[in-house]
Amino acid sequence: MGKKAEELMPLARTERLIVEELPGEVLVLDLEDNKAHCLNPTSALVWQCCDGKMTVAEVARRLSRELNSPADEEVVWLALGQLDRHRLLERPAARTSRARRSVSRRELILRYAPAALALPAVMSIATPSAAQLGSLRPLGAACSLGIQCASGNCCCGACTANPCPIIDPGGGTGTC
Amino acid sequence: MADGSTVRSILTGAWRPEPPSVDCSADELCRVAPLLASSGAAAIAWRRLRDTALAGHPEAAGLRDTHRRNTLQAARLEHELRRVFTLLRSSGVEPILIKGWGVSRLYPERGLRPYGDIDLCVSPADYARARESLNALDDRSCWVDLDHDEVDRLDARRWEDLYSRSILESLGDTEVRVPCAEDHLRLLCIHLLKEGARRPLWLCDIALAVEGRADGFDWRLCLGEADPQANWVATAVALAGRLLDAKIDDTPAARVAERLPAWLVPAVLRQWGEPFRPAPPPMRWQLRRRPSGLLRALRERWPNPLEASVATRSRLAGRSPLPLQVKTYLSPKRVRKLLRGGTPGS
Repeated sequence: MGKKAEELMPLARTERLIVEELPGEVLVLDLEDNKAHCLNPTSALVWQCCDGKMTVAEVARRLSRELNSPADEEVVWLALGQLDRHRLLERPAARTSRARRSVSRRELILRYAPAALALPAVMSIATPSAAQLGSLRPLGAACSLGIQCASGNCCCGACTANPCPIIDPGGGTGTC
Repeated sequence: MADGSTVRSILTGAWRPEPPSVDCSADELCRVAPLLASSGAAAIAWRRLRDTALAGHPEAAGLRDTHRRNTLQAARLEHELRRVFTLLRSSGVEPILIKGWGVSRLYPERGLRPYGDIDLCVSPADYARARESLNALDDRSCWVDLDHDEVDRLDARRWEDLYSRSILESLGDTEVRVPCAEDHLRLLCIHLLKEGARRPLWLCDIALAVEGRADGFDWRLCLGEADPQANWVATAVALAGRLLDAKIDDTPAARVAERLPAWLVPAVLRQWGEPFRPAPPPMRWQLRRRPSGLLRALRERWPNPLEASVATRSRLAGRSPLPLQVKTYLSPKRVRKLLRGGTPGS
């Protein structure tokens, strides 16, 4: 018997994403908007199952099995809503928009707290900043091109918060 | 200097696959977390703290976030590095990568050793062509630096020798050319001193390179015979032993470590106890924004003893480095460069 389209998992987005696995979490950098996300194991597993073939019920069963804790379809829908909000799906699941309205995280926390299931969570993390990177330069530091600066703006030999008002065909140093 | 000592204790052995346990209080962590973050050592510090009681501390959470960011950034830069190597090779230029990925690949986990640009050395004959090719890249997401004082000006080694000893390392479907282990350690040492050892992570790089060296590592090649470079390299390795407990007993630096100049360790710890400051902008830029800031601008440019020693091509010796600092500060070349906007020490 064929699976109903609305029961099928959506497709995970793969283009222009950098994905890295760390112990207990999956990190995703979206090259479209330079946003980074951190998926907990539950979200990561749901995302991994976004193949357009499995059903939501099958994924719920897999969650229960792999996370060693009971999980129903509402948990999967909650994860899909979050993944969709962070633009990690090719297109929303058939019920994702409804799920967003109907699945309350608070409700699920109350329901799953005794089972100690980690509810799906997708956390945004700030994209790499100059201070932590080692080589990009902060405001006021000497530079010769904008890409040397964390702000992306090099004006008159120094990194600035705003673009250089001086038109400079040579790449951002400006003639000051 | 107390905070510098805390940074030191957090980073001791941090590069090892099995780092030693760390002894750090919550108060100390609060004080040094900004120092670790500003100097690029947050991720490696997190690795040491993540299995301790401090792992749940809010400051540790900041370090953890940095580790996450660095991990993603490392993946992005590796992509960029492959692209740059492919581009330059298609222009007939074969570059050598120094520092950056060349060092971070040696760490036990990706993202522990951040870098934000790509440092390449090319043959003097290829320099203009390489520059032209890179300028044609209109969507560069990071800075590719072709100018390196530690190679071009401060060291006496010829490009041809550096190239002939270089090796190819795999990065995905690309091969990246890096210096041989001896040349790379030497470069790291000279770079550390040239920049005044301001980032503790640079000393971790040296400790890692020393401890991870292969059996046939040629110390004579690494140190060279020319002075002061041989003294610089031995001193930097000795510093890694003294400050970070790197295992240097079976190296020529072991004897140097026993008689390091008295001013050296305090000077480095003082640096580490202050937030990392990059090269100041051109003085005229600073003064235009704040004309009353002349004294501060002058103070910011005072060279630390290590960078002054390298700038004046002096051995790191027991005598007071003050004359070298004065000489460096007042050198006409440096004054001209600072007005234009160069880095201190160069």
